[in-house]
Amino acid sequence: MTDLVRAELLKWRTTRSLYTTVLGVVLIVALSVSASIATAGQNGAAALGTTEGLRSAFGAAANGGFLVMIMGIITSAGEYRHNTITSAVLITPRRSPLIAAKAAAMAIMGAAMAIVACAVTLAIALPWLAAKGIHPALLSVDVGLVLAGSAAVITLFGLIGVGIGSMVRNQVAAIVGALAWLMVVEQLLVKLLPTVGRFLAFGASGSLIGAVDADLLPAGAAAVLLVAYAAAFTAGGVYVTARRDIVA
Amino acid sequence: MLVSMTNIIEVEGITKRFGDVRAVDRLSFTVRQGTITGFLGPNGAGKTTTLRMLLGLIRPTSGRATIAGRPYAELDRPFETVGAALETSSFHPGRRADDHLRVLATAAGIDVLRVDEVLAEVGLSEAARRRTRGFSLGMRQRLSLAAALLGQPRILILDEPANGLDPEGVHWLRRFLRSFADVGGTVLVSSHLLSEVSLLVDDVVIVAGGRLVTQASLAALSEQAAPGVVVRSPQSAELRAALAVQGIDAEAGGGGTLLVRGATTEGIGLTAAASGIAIYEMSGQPFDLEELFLELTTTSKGDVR
Repeated sequence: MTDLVRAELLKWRTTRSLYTTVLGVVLIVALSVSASIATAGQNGAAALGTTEGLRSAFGAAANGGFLVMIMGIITSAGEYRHNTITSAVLITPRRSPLIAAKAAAMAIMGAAMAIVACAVTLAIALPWLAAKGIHPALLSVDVGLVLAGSAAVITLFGLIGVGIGSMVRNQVAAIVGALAWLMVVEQLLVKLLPTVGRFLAFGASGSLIGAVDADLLPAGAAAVLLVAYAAAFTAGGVYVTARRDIVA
Repeated sequence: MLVSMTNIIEVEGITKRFGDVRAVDRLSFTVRQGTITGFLGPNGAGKTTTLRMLLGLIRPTSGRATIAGRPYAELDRPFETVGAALETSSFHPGRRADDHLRVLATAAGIDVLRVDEVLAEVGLSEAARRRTRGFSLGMRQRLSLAAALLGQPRILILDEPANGLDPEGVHWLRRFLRSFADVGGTVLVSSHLLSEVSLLVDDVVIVAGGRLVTQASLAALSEQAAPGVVVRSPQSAELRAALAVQGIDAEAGGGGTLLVRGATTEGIGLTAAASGIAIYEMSGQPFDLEELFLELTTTSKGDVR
């Protein structure tokens, strides 16, 4: 099993996609944090000095999760795209360990990406806030806990991606479909139909990054729910992969 | 040669249906240990589907296929028992050739030192550090073969490995597989061209329309493809009649020639002399396996399904 996880990590290290993705996470998080701070206090957004304003700035780190989910999709669907699934399954004919190894490797990479996202967030937000005379405590509910929640969201979305990519196989369709679902459908449901939205991955993520919204689940329940989503998607990937004909 | 009578690969009544299409229909054959067996049939005969079922990639609708007595998925270390090269485009285009092999070796728990060895074995050392994006079809074939060799398997299963190789490459592949079999290795190699493998294989398994047409040694098959003699004579019609009296078949060719089957040049010469028929030219026609192959695979196509 460790061999398989090492091989999955090696797959990423031997193509350029890994470096592109790291760069992407840095950029998307930097933009999100900057936008959040720059627009704070305008057009109804909370002012920086408030709990809500701080959480929105530091919770912007979680936007790295979109790219990490794409990474997870590429981890699985990419094998079909390039027909490398055949040799992977020849080595691991029982297949379940293959998807498990992908999930494990993705958890490691997702955690690393989460650290990058949090570091970028701190590097931008702290000096900027300090310049405005705001000095939030790092180990606080509004900063430390929000960053920890963001890191969890990023990591778990990587696992969800592994599951999606295993089930859908068509890499482009999986990426487009997943992003559209999350950013359009779930986002709307969270806003318009919170009784349903709170139970979706997007709603659970919102709670984990400390969004101030009474309709969302409490953080503990949201964490359990998001872990359950990640586990369910991974299990779905295992189930489908084990039964599928690899025709290529 | 270490040819034994042990059947190392056994396919028993294997069937695969894709929707309404029977890609493979109750196919049975065996491969003897230490031999090179050609798995032959026209495109669409079900060769690739059969090889993929043998390797546990496709689940058969019914029947079973075993390697060394067990289904592939139940082998202890499958990658070190069977080396398979199934397709030519199974690499990430942005990954280097050596990295591709390193990934496979790592996953299979094989010493990565093997990577440089197999690259040298297939003659790809110089391209080792290049991304596979720019590889020619021939280089892809070699890289696929290198991957199959990583685990030092004693059995090789290759799907159309000569596709895209230049004549030199085909010659190299032939020598490579021969030496692999000479030290006791077993090879199952598919092709849609009998001529491509007729210099290489010991046995042939011929399929068409998903069904077995014949399994035989190449020697036995060659006997079926009777050699002929081409005769040129100004009296070809008379000669044909004279031969017919003796029960020998002759086909009229162009320009006053006859293709005579089942007779020697001596016999034809004597018959002609006895009938006072002049002969300008006689030449032996080597047996034509390809023609026999075509005959076998096209006639049996009619009764599919």
